[in-house]
Amino acid sequence: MKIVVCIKHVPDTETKIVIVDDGKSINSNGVKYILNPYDEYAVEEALQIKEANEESEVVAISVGDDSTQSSIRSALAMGVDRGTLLKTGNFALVDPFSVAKILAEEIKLESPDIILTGKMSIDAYGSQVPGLIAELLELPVVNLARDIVLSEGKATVKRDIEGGSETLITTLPAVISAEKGLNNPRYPALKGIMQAKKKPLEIKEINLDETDVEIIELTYPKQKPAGRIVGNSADAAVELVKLLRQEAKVI
Amino acid sequence: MNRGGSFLITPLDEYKILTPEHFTEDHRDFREAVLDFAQETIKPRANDIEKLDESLTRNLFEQMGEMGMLGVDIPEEFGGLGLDKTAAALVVEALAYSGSGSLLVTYSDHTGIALFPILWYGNQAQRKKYIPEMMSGKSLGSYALTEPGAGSDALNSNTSAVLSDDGKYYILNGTKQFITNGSWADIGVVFAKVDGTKFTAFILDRTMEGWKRGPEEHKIGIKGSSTTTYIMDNCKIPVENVIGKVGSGAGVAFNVLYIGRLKLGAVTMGAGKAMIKEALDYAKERKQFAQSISNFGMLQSKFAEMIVGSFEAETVTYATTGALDANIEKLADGHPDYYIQLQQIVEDHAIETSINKVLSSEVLFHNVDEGLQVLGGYGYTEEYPFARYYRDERINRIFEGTNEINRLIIGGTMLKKAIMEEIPLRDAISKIGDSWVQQHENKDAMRIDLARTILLVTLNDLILKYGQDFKSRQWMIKPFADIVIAFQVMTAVYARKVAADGSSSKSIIDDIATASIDKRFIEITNSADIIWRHILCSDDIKKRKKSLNDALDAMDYFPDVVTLRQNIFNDLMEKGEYNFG
Repeated sequence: MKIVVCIKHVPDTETKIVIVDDGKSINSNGVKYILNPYDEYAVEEALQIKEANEESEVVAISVGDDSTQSSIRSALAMGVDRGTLLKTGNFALVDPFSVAKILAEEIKLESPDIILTGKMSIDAYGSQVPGLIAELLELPVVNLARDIVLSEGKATVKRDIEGGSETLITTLPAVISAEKGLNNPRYPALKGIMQAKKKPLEIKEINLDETDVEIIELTYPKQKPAGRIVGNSADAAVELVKLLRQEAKVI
Repeated sequence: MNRGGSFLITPLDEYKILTPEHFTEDHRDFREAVLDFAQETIKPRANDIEKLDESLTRNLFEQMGEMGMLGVDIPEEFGGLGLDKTAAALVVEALAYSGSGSLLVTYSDHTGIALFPILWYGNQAQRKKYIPEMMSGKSLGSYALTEPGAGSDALNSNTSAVLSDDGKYYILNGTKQFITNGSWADIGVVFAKVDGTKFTAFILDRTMEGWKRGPEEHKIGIKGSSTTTYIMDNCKIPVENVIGKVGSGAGVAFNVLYIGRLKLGAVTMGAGKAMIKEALDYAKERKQFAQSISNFGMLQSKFAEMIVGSFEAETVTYATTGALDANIEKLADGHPDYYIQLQQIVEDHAIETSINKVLSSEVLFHNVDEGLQVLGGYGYTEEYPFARYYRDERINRIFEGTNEINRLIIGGTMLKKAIMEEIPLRDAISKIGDSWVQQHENKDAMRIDLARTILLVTLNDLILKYGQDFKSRQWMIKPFADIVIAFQVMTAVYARKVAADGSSSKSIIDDIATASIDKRFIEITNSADIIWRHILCSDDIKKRKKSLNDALDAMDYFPDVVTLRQNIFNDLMEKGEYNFG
């Protein structure tokens, strides 16, 4: 079985983001980048499928710049067999549709049995790529998987819906995006980290056409207003509840 | 071979060390991976570990085993990764960021003194039988040397071993005390005297009758690690579980302690660095007098001091692992005496491994103490982890050889190396005249050369006064060992500063180096003064002081240590944590 995992190289959530002067991109200097956490679930799921199915191969594919190699290496360290970097000039300006087109072209060449992705990237929050890839490849897509079981060329996928969960069955190949809780991603073993450096990582230069969607402006979130002390007597509790209900509207 | 103690006489410009600025990519990646595990998986469970939760500890050990953290420097044929001492130190210092002193003690015991007797002195059958299960984390190891009447005086053992009538077993009787991993251990290395005289090491395992564990000790800290007595009650150990030869136990017992010290040095070094961020995070948030307490100079100076101490400990740790690795690399794999040669390399660096242990454990002590002070009253409550850190830190200055025993090793080994001419100290001493003025384009380097002169002159004074008996003069060994420790710090820090040329941290490393060398130089002159006043007549004291003052006058060097420390603090504020290399 061949499994393709699409991954993205994203800034760590704990890192401090600085918007550069053009107002459209961030200063990547001093920013720690990581493998997108939702994609980690996809990688883990791919590895579990591989471990359950003899003679399987897991390939990680990513669109990005040279620095993206480190996230691909992270996936290789976890146990992915090989990686492909689809290298573009200015990755920060690539829109989701362009990413999906680039990925879909490469996936066609691999012709995998299953394509796994994270449900979204934690930097752009687009949630578009899984669906777009599936459309471009004319494959079924199931988003937000919490459980995946493969049998006889089909995948049974559980996903959460409002107030409960639903179970779907899809033919393969299919694109399935991972929700938090699908599994517990493994830490890379130290040996895996060493081996990852020797695993194949192919770099393909991609010439990007003009994108249809472009970023016009990035802004910082509004600063949280300072806290307010309502009082310190028993009466203050009543006042506090009133404010929480009427003003903050949180209860 | 690069001999242990050679930092004492190697000309400063030729003294090269491994520095964190020159770690390999693998080294850096290991550190990241282990840090993630320490902070995401261990740290949130640190309070549960304190409840002496055996199944939690075992579960974490199995995870560490899967990741390969239990056998970083153990050969692959026994289930380890077969990497160098530097990689092992990096892994353990990153684990220390978990803040769980208890788990670190369990870990250090298991991967250090419990394992190395079997690796170094065991036969191939013993290694194959016991080491792989320890690597996987499925078996926990232990090391049982101490007895109620035999602590630092470890050979004064009352545990007896008698060969059974059929010649198949040794029957052990006696009590071992303060055994780390006591109630959990599946395997133990235990020491006893055969026929009342021949001190011998044995391997215990769970299957053996007569191995009993006493109740848990009620300790000040590291409450989540198990410490019990072992009661050997007619314990039957098969003869094939003798480690090495009958009567060779002293070497087994003591030589693995060098490795134990190296590992403990790395653990405490990592923990000391981790303290800085924890205290700083609090200081940034805490407001008094309408401003962050991190604006206050007295607190800033504490942080600067913590950074300098941790920088010194880190530098000396990797200077030592780098020197060991460079020597070990040259050994021929598969040589029948491979492990004996390896052990000899480590033993030859006894001064360095003892310095690592003393320095790093004392830096951790300082950082925890000052870190708690930054938190003020909150630091004194159990709501914040500093209370636990404060309790846990204390043991590090006691076990793996108390810091007093380690200072004796530093002084005693120096004396031995001087007298046996293992390093040409006498030759170096003979070249010193009445004038201590030397030239060097860098004034920090001039200070180090002056400190070296003070060290050698003082060693000479001590040898002339006491001869071999110096090793029993503990009032003098303490200040002398402090001189050696301070001198190793200065040379290593200077070598790191030189090696940092071209690094993005270069200018702040320069400031830290100058602050460290300044502080250590003052310590050396104080310690030497104490020795001189005790053993020299007043004319000689005056002569020494004149040589020293003339050299200082000629140097004309007064670095502004306040500005240096302000720079160090500002750099910390920018980075938010200890981070160089």
